[in-house]
Amino acid sequence: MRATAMRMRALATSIGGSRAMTVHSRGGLDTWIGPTPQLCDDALLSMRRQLQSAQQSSSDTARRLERQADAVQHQLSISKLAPK
Amino acid sequence: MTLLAFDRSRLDSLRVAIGAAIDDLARIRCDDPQAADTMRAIRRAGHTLTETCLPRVHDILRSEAMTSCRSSDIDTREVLRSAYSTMHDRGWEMTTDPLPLVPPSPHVRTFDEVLVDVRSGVLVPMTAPLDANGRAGAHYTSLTFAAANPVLLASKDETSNLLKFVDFISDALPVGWREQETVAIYYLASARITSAVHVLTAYDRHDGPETLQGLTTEAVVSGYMIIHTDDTVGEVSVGIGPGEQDPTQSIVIAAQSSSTYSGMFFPDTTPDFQDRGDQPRFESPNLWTFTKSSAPMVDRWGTWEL
Repeated sequence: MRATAMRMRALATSIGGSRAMTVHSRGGLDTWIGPTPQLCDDALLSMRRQLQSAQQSSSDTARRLERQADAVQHQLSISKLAPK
Repeated sequence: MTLLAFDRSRLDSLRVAIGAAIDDLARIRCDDPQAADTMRAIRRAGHTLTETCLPRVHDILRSEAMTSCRSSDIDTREVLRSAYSTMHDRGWEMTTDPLPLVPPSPHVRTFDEVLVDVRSGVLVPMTAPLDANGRAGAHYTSLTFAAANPVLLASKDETSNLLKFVDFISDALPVGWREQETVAIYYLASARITSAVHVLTAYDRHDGPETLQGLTTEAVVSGYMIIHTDDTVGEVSVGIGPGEQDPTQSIVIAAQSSSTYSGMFFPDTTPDFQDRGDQPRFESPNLWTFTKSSAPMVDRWGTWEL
């Protein structure tokens, strides 16, 4: 569980550090203007939102798995301490 | 002809940035089953960059930009003309749009097909705007539709026989009432739908209600707009000339007209509403705004119903 959580965290970090998250800043009205540029800028912003959502989802999964791992570890430590 | 203007060095920088983003996304790997959804989202993002954005940028950079631009070449709308002129003054290059503005629709239904599909439930209306139900201070929403090229499929006169009769006898009466009801169906390709949130309070019907900042969302979707228009004219007329005259020969001395509309939008796909950015936009003009709130209607707003 901890290993999976670590992989999910790494995945979220990779998404956040990807240049796909900032590519939209190169477009906009300082770069081009017109109906097709607007559609393209919209596509870039929509893609960024998808990636942000995926990044958030990965982080959430990692947190959930870490909590579950903590709970399991806690249960195990209690059962070890219990008198046989 | 549709034109676009661009700064070649910045556009080339965008091309490089898109290439780098595609490389970054392609390098992200995770075989864990828990990451399946995330990996799908990453592949979709990569697909958007590779198939949508990069080809458009390439096409524009490869196009032979005009070194000068006659005003007659520019779109007739004043806003566009002004924007393009400004860009031209800044030394930007201009060219025709190399790609179609909107993807061609696979099949646009006829007027009758739309009505049949609406009645049979094949076409499902978009979710209605929120209604304040007349409660002061309650939130309600408005839906504004903008489209570059709305296609009128057809319009039909739906005026009842009674209203036609009233219209007929109004010709011979000093006080007349004329009313015409029309149903029109438009196909909107890539319509921009803006959902704005308002609070039900008193407002000037010319200015409209205040919009709550930060809650406006928008979506781009194609579909059919059915509009029911009700045009009414009340008029007072007097006969021409002294004595006994033909009662239909009269002159209108006072008239009051009003026009209201209601309608619904039937999208091809479910609209995906996203936050609207603050950046100035290059937009098509708003065509219709709908609300379901029972508050006094704003001028030029319509009711969401059929």
